[in-house]
Amino acid sequence: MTPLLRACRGLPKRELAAGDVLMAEGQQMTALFVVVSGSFVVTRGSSVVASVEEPGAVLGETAFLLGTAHRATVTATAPGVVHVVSDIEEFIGDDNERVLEIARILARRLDRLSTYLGDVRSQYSDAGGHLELLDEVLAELAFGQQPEADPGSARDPDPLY
Amino acid sequence: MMKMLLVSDLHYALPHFDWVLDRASEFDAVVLAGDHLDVSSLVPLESQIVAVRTYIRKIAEVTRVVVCSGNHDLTARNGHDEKHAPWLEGIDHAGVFGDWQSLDTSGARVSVCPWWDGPATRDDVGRKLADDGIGRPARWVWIYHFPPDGVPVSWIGSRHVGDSDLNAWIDAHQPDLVLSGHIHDAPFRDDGSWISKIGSSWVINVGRSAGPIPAHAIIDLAGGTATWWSAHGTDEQTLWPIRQQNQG
Repeated sequence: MTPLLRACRGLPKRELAAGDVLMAEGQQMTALFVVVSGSFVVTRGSSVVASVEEPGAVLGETAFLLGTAHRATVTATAPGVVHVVSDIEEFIGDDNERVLEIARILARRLDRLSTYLGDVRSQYSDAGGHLELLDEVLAELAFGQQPEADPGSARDPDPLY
Repeated sequence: MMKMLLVSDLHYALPHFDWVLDRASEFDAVVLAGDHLDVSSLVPLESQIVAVRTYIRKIAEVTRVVVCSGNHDLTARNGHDEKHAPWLEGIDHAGVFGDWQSLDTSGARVSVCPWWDGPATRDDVGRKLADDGIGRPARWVWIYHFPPDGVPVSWIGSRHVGDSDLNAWIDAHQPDLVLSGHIHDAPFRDDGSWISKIGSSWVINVGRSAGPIPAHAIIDLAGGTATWWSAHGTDEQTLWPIRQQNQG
């Protein structure tokens, strides 16, 4: 059992049948989910971007922590069970281990993502185009502290123009 | 005097930025006339800014970059509590001229106007243009995202959508050229155009077209010509006669 699954003992569970949508792209976040069992497919638009099967995997954490809409749809591809964390502050409470475990999951994901992209840049160093800029963009994204953007215009809020 | 490449409304289309970077060294300046970012993109604005700033730096390695904000580029509120694009202001990078800055070069001045999102910033833009008009050289060019109202470059097919404050400033100062964007489809509509004239001022809006090459214009200030290219067609306009050198 993973540390996060241990930390979820006693939390509400949700059972899913194959085909059930756990979260939908563009939908405002409602909870963070920790996989107990089952398998899930992550899609963006009509593209499959990942499949998730391992117990202890976290789903919906980015939207949950940032308070944004979900950036992908997660659908059960087999019967499964997830823990539902609907109040992150209550979940964390005084348990530093829970905070650390979520931080580790996110850091691991960032590390995998950035090293993969860095390697793509290295292997395609003569490819030109945006790939040539990838190192610089990645470095700034990984090590910089970009101020949070407040998008949109009050004067012309139409995103079409 | 400068030969400029004008693009606008790239809206985080990375292949279009690649194209601009690839061609930049052929020009004395590259003008990015706003809406570099896209608020509808899945990519967070914070990440888009990092990528676009990297392009701006790369272009500045080979030529000057003149870059103003559009309505998609606003990320914070200024001292007037009105939206602005701080990432395009106070740029301290050689060869980059952002919001509120001006580029003076042989015989020409380029005034970079920010997108204004409220009356106080609008008044600041008016003051900037008045200040920049003092001692204007032979050619005065404004970079201003929102095109003027009531002319073909702001035609959306059923009506004009333009900035009437810009009309008033054009009437007052009569710049030689205003480089804008914002109304993507104006050049492609019946009764629309990529170029208009108000008094003695030319206004260009290159529009936005799909495909690997962005709609763009090549403007030769010395030669007095503007050449427009889009996936839907091309055109050329004489802006003013070539000035004779060493007259008298």
